[in-house]
Amino acid sequence: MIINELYLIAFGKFINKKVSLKPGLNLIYGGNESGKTTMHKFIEGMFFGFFKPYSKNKLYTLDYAKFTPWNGQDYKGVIVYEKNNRRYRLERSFSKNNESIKLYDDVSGADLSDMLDFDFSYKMPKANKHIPINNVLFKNTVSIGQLSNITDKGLVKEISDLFADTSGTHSSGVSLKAAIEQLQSKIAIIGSHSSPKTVLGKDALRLSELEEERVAAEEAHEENKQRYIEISRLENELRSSQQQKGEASELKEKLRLSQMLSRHEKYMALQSENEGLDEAINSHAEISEEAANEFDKANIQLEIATKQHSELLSQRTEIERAVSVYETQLEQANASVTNSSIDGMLEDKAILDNSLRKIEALTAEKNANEDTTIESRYEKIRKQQKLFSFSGTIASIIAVFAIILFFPLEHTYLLYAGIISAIAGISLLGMWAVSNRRRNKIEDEFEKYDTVMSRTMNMLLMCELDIEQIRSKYGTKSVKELVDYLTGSQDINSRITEMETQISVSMGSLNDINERIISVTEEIDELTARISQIVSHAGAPSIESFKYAVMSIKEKAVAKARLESNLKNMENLLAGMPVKALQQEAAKALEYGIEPSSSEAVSLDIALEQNSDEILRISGEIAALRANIAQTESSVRQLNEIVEEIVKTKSRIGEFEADLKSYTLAIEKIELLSKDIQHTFADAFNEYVSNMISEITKGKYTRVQVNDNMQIKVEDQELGQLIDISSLSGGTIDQLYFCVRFAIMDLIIKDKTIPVFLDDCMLQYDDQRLSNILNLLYEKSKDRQIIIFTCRKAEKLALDEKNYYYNFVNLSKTAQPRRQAESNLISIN
Amino acid sequence: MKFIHAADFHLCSGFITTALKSEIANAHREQLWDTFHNIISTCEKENADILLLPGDIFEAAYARVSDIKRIIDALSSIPSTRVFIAPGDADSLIGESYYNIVQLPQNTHIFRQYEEVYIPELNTSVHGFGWEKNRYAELPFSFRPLDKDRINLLCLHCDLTNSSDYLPISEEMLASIGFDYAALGHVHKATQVKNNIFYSGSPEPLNFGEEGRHGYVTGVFEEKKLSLSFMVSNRREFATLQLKITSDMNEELIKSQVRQACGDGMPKHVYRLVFTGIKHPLIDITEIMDDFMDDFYSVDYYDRTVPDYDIKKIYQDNKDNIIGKFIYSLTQDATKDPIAYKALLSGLEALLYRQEGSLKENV
Repeated sequence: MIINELYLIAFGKFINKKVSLKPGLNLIYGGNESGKTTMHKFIEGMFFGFFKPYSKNKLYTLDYAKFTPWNGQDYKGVIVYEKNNRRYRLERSFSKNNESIKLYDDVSGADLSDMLDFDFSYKMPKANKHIPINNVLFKNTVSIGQLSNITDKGLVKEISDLFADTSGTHSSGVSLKAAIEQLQSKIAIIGSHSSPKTVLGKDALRLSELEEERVAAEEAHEENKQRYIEISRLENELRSSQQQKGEASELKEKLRLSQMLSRHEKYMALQSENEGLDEAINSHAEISEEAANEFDKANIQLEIATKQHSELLSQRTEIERAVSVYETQLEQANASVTNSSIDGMLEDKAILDNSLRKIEALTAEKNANEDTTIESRYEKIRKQQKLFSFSGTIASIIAVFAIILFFPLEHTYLLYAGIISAIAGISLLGMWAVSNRRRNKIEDEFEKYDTVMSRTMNMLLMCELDIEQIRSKYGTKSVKELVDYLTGSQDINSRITEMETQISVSMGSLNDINERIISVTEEIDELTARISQIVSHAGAPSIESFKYAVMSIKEKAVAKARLESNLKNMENLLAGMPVKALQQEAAKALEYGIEPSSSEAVSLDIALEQNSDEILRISGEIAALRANIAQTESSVRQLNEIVEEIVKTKSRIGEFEADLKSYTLAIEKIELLSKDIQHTFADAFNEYVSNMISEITKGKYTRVQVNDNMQIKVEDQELGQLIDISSLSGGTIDQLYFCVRFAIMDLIIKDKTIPVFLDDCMLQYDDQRLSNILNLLYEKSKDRQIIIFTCRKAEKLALDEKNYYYNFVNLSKTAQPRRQAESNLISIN
Repeated sequence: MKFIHAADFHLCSGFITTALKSEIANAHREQLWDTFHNIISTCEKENADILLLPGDIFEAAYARVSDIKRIIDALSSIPSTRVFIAPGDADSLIGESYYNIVQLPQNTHIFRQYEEVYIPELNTSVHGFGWEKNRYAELPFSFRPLDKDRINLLCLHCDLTNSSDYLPISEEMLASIGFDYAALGHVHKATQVKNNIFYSGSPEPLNFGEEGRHGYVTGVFEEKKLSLSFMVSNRREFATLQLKITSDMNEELIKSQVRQACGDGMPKHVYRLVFTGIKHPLIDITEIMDDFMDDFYSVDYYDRTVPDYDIKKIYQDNKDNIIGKFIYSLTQDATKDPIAYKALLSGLEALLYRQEGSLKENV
């Protein structure tokens, strides 16, 4: 493709500006503000328009407004170009209200617009029919702008980046590193659950706090519910206590009214009684009070004396009767002991008692001394002695006979028998002698024993004889009967003595009483006389009539005392309240049908007090629980609020996690695809650049190598070693940069005829480096059209010096002042 | 005989699905209380004989002791109005339900098993049932024949449908019983099912699904002739607005569209704005909304716009390079998986960033 003509009908500052271009190298020169960039943008705009790339809708870039003609003329232009030996004329009207694209055969004038593809986003045909790239690729490949890093180091980095990006993307202008960094920075901004400084970490931490807060709030909620249940229970108790208190109060009131009624009744009764008492008090008295008192005193003394007299008489009668009884008994006692003298009986009783005591003592002595063994031992020794004497004698006789017979018979056994019998006889006689001594000793003991026992037995016998004599004297059947008889006689004797004493004492008392009777009788006579004197002195007709008069005086005094007592009682009954009030209370009681009662309400008061205490206690507990509830509620946030925040926080965390997953997925995909692209594309790219650098350096550097760290090295053919490109000369680095740019163009864009545009990109090169680059560009311009925009003459001078063929366009000649873009706002159609 | 029918206050509710800001959520919770008290006051002002509350008066999961005390105090303040509560799923009688704990005012009756409460002086029977579990897949009781000489009211939290977990009853069946008025709860949108069968709805909206007017029903029986009125009670409205924007819209145009859509409700209602369509890359919805956030009482927004990428075009222009291959690798998954879709867009944005960087400056 070769661009032949640019016709800026109305574009930016240019009106009807024509520029002719040639195949090969074109140098468009112009000073600052001469319109170089406008010219460059015109070419871009003609083929691509000023639309936002990849947009679904037609969206204009700021360039649209920037290059709108100043004077309002039609915003349009024409570009004439050749492609495959055919010359085309592309006309574009940029105006939004008259937007159009037309493609003509520049030779025949045939309208070829139908050939153009339609862009549905922009809703118009696409003008890049013969530049099969979009404006993005155009800007990043064939359009080379001013280098941002003109230093060698900067260029080396740019080369490395281009290599890396292009090898990994098979594209241009796409930075793998930047893309991944951008995604990673988004991941970093979100952060993780475990890093509390990031948004996700903050939310995760907050969620954890909220969950704890929720648990605390739920616990508080439950605690308060339980407290409320307790309050409900206590309120029931309170109601019950209050009801009980009400009932007790009512009962107490009834009792109070009942008491009032009772007091009122008593009051009325006393009042009524007082009326009678008043009457008695006010009645007339017939005798003097002094006389009445004297009479009363004497009368009382008389009554006492009379009573005393009567008692003494009765005592005398009693004593006389007792004396009579004693005397009768005495006679009977004396009669019962007439047959024997009392003294004889007492003497016999003494002998009897003595004999009985003796018998008892002797029997005890006999029992104590009695030895039943002494007799048996004596008998036993006697028998032993007889046995020893008899057998000893026999043995001795046998021995004699045996010895005697031995001598005539001379039988040995007779000798032996005689010896044995002699020994036995001696032994037995010996034993007899021993037992004889023992027998003598036992015989002595026995004799002594027998003597004692015989004496005791004799004494016992004598005592029994004495008793028997007495028994026969009194003719009793047994000793026991005799003892009873003599003992009874002894008692009668004591009783006679006692009775005689009693009679004597009674007689003494009788004398005393008789004396006192005489004395009292005298007193009575005296008092009777005195009373008669009082009565007669008072002029009373009789003692009886005087007595009546005295009684009247007494009754008045009693009535007075009673009246005083009654009045005091009435005062007590009123207890400070007016009589009318008491009457009203009594009336109220009667109205309620209450019976009078004087019982106290002590138990009710206690019950009421207990009730009040209970009510106070329950009310206190309820108040405490309510305070606890309020305190607990204020100590935690509301559960609904917490749950809302939890849900919102979880939702945000969910969104963050989804974002993290999506960014991670994007990174994974990009890295995977990049490796794949590198695998298939990097070698071809390296080879292309290697060939170019070899060609440019005339074989000095033959091969470019890129290691895993994207370090680029070139092989120095002369030295036979790999050199890092940062060690290369500045000129070689420039060449390498342009090699890479051309490699990108050629490998990425299939159409290798698309012109290349360089816009002030060699501005800061010195002459030497500019020369190097121009050499390269000149070589390239043999294959494709190259259009260089520059603001300095160095390029022209260098090209002229090199005697290279090029087309020169001088914009400065027609330079016009350009208008500043008026707005940087988004352009909207 | 005059009655008021209000339901589904959901006092103490948690606005979980609405994502309201904390202060707005708290304010709206207080608004629910205000509206509840207003209706209670209306009972007193209008001398209502009966207040029918068919369920979901409060959210048992969140209600505190002090909240229950507020309800009791309110009900106690209208001693001459007989209050009938038929608990629903949110305030059911399960376990230690507050209904089972509290000492209710003397004028208040809680329905448990299905029962009829006769009020001789009004010649009115109120029938009702209280939920004792959270779900009822079928009607758990049988209606009894009505004494037609009385006014018969029904107070029930139910779902008028043939199949539901929320105590289903068919309209026809309910109509055939012959209640003079059926006060229903559960549906938050006020609905007159038949002439005398009403869902009063929630007196205040509770989420963005409950747009429009909210209120309660007042009814007057003269003999057996019923006249009904729906009284609007909501102070706030919830509104979800879909705002479709295009890539050629600038900030002012978008703001203007928002203002136009919200009208004069901005300072008083609760809005949810959902931005859809294609957004210009330089348009930042957050920035736009930040600018006039203070003009709203409450607003939240969702940027559901898509970046202005013509992915097909990008793919066609970049088939051989990493961009095209990246699109190809994710396109299929992106149609089904939101993560993959987001990965596609974010990856594309990153890959095009350098290419577009310069362009963006020029857009």
